[in-house]
Amino acid sequence: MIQKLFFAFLIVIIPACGMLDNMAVGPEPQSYSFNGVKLIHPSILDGGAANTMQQDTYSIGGQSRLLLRFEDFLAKIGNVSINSKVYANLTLASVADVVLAKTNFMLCPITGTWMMAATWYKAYPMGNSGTWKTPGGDFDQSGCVTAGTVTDATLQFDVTSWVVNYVVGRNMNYGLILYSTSSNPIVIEGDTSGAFSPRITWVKNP
Amino acid sequence: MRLLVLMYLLGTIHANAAVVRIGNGDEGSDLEGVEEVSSGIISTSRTETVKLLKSLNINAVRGLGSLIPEIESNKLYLAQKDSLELDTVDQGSFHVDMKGRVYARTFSEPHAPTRFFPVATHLAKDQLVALHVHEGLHRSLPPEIRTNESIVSEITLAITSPDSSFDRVQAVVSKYIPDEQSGAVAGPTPVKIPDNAKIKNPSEFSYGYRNFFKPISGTTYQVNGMHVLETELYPFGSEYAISGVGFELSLINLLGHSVMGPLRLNFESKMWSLRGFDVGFWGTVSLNTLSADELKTSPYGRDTVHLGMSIRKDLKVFSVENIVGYTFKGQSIQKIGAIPYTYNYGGVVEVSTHPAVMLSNFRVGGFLEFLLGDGYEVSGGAFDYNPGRFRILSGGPELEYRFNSMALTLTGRFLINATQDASYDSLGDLLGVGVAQGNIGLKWSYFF
Repeated sequence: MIQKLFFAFLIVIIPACGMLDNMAVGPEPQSYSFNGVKLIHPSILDGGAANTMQQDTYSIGGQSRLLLRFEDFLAKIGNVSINSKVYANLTLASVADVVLAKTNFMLCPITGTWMMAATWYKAYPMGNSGTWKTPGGDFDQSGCVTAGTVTDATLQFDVTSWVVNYVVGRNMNYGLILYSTSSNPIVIEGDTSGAFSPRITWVKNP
Repeated sequence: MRLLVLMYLLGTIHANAAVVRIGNGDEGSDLEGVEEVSSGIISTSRTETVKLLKSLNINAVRGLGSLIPEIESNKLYLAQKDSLELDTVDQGSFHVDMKGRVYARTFSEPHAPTRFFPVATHLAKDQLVALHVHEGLHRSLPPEIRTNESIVSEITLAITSPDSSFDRVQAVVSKYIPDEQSGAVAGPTPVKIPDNAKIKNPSEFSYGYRNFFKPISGTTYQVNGMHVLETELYPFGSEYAISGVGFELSLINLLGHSVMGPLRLNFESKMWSLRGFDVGFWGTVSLNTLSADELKTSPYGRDTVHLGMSIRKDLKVFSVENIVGYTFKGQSIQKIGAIPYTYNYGGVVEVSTHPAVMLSNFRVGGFLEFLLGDGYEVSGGAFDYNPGRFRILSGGPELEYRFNSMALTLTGRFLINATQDASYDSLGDLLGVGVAQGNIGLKWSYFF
């Protein structure tokens, strides 16, 4: 009797495991918080200023800009298909700002390396080579994108071109810069926000 | 027969040996009258003596370098009559015969003439050779031993014995002229150390302040200044070579607040060379004293190990000191936001020269320093900065005013030339060269 039960168990369990295995090799949605988030403004000269990083919210507009980078992106992205879409999601602190943000927020590929000690003038504080060519950050103007889909207060930016042209194409993960063409400040959720931190999402193919 | 006489002479050396002064005595014994010798057995035996000394390569024996020239150029005189032994002058069997008649006299100083007495002309040539050697040694050995009849006789024996060799002479001489007097190495020597030499008052207690200037724009850890309390004590060693231990405590001024800086332990040896140089060897260990929380914000939170050597020469109005050193590689981690950045500091070779002019109590000088660093790298997250090898050329004034046992020193350090991006920040050595692009320092010291 015990033997029969055991064989019956095997007959049921083994195919079930196979099904689980088959399920695991399908496309996997990926979502990571940007862990390199740095606010820059012409008035902030101290690269280590505490109010420029690890904040609940950031106010973007005028000359306040936000540098965004998922530091482990190259290691995590794996075999992303060139046809896959990669999105950057930013959530506004107030739904009322959606229209303003959708119109004025620009998310652009940064073209030089930088560290968390970056300021409006310096990408990193080591000698002259760390100076931005253009104060406020060096970025690819032609690669800038505006928000596409909006879900509640979350703006979705299609950054696939950046991934293809820089991250995968050149193995360069310099991240993105967010700026606003409006002088009105727009507050977005910061990197210490639990559910609404700036994110990068894509679908990982098997 | 001659050999027997010689052996008798040699055999009685120790019995008669005593410290004497070789020269004229009183009691009318210096009224013998002399004439210069230019031929005869005394002159020819001198030629034989020189030949013997050259065959033994006596010039290469430590302490006997001037023996051959002393004998070759010595003026020889022959007295008209014999002279009897004087108790206080003529002790030792090389000087007198069994009847107390003196063979020869000289003064125990270089180039002093030698007076032979008629009784010496009856000696055999090999006896006269021994006599020339003996009298020559009295004039050419170092002053401390040249009047010691026992030592002079023993060396004479070593040179004139039938089976003499260079090694035998060397062995005998080395008993009385040790290595330290050869000038080959530093150590106990008869060289007088000037009163102003650093080695005379090496221990030091000092307080200083350094103000750093021109920080690199955007730096995350701006150090504005540093207080340093230093003490060095040298309890070990002799007058010519000393060893000591010291430490430096520092307090660094940041923007708006101060924190403890590195604690540096110093181990140093100084010695005075026979050529009159102050020579120092040191090793230092700078220990980071920041807490783990404070360390998060600092790229300088590392330990450093440094080895170096200095050579200094103080002349009447001019002084120069050269320094060669090496700082070993190290590492620190600074966390900015959520990203930890690792600072890898490579080894650094340091050479510098510090010339100065002495004007009364002032020492007015400066320094020129070359630093060659290797492998500086900063990395963290997706960021990597690796400029590779770099150089820094520095210079600045060094002004010191000495009064009693104290000194007030004003120094400046300026970055003259460097490879792109290199500054003192690239070294991460707060207590060494400092940070930013230079500093001005003022220090009060008490020496003892």
